[in-house]
Amino acid sequence: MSELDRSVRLVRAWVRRYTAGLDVQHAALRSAEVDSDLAEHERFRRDCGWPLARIDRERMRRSIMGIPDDLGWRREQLRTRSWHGVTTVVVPVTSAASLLLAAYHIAFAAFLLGNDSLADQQFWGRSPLHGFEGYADEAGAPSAALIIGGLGILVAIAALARPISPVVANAIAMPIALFAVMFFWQGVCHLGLNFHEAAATDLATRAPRPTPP
Amino acid sequence: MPRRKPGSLLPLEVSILSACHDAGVAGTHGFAMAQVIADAAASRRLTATGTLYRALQRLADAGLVENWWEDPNDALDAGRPRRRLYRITGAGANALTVALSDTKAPALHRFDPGYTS
Repeated sequence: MSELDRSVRLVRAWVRRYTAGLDVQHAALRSAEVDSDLAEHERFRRDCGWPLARIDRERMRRSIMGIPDDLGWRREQLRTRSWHGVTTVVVPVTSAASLLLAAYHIAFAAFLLGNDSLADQQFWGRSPLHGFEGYADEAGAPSAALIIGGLGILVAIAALARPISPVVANAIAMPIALFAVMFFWQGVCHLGLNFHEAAATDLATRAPRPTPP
Repeated sequence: MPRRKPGSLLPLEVSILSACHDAGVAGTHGFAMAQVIADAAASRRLTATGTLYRALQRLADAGLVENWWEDPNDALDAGRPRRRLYRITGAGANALTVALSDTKAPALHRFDPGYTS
């Protein structure tokens, strides 16, 4: 193995190192470009009549001097990829959570409209989650939740349809996703209590206990 | 990377754009740019590999240069790896004009300000 081959191998090993874990295509393109640069460099200096050892030293110097920028390039690639990943995950999750929330509240509102007696009892306000008790006792709470869900859907659609900054998209999407999931969870808990209480009420009214003799 | 105002170009980026401009529509590759930059600065030191290609990536991301890979057959005939070629865009030419008209920017290459690609 000549000195020149050794420098090429060292540079290639470094390229493999700083492109590790990146998108395969990006890494391959970077590697191919550096390979091309190495070959052009060698050809140019050979034409100038430089000895191989000198070409080797210059090539190594260029690579070493570029290490901070190689690492900076890697950081940029990783940042772009991670933000892209977060955007692709968070925006659909937000949309799904908002849709779920809206669907639940529509179904629950319909359930209440069909059962006036249940709505009057207000037992569905007893949330097992502390701090949320007041929410469901309010008469307009399901409507407010629907509006929040609807807004979430609109924002999520806007984020998907328009090429806005990933940071902005996530700043909007993340709190909405969290909010939607919390309300959805609360709703599920309420629904469980509703059925439990409805069944108990039904039993109490339809099957009165026989009076003891 | 040195700190700079958004939208402004680093001296290396101005030099790269100038080299791309000089190469015309046929485009040029990274190492050729390093040579041009060294010649213009009357230096024998070639730009570091990482510095050069990171700057090219920034310029490409900003839409100031466009790049493509040459025909594999051309590389095969020449007996070397394929080159990635770069060409200045219209936006790049405008940015170069602005940068060169700024007295603070190093003017390595002057060109016709009326140029549009």
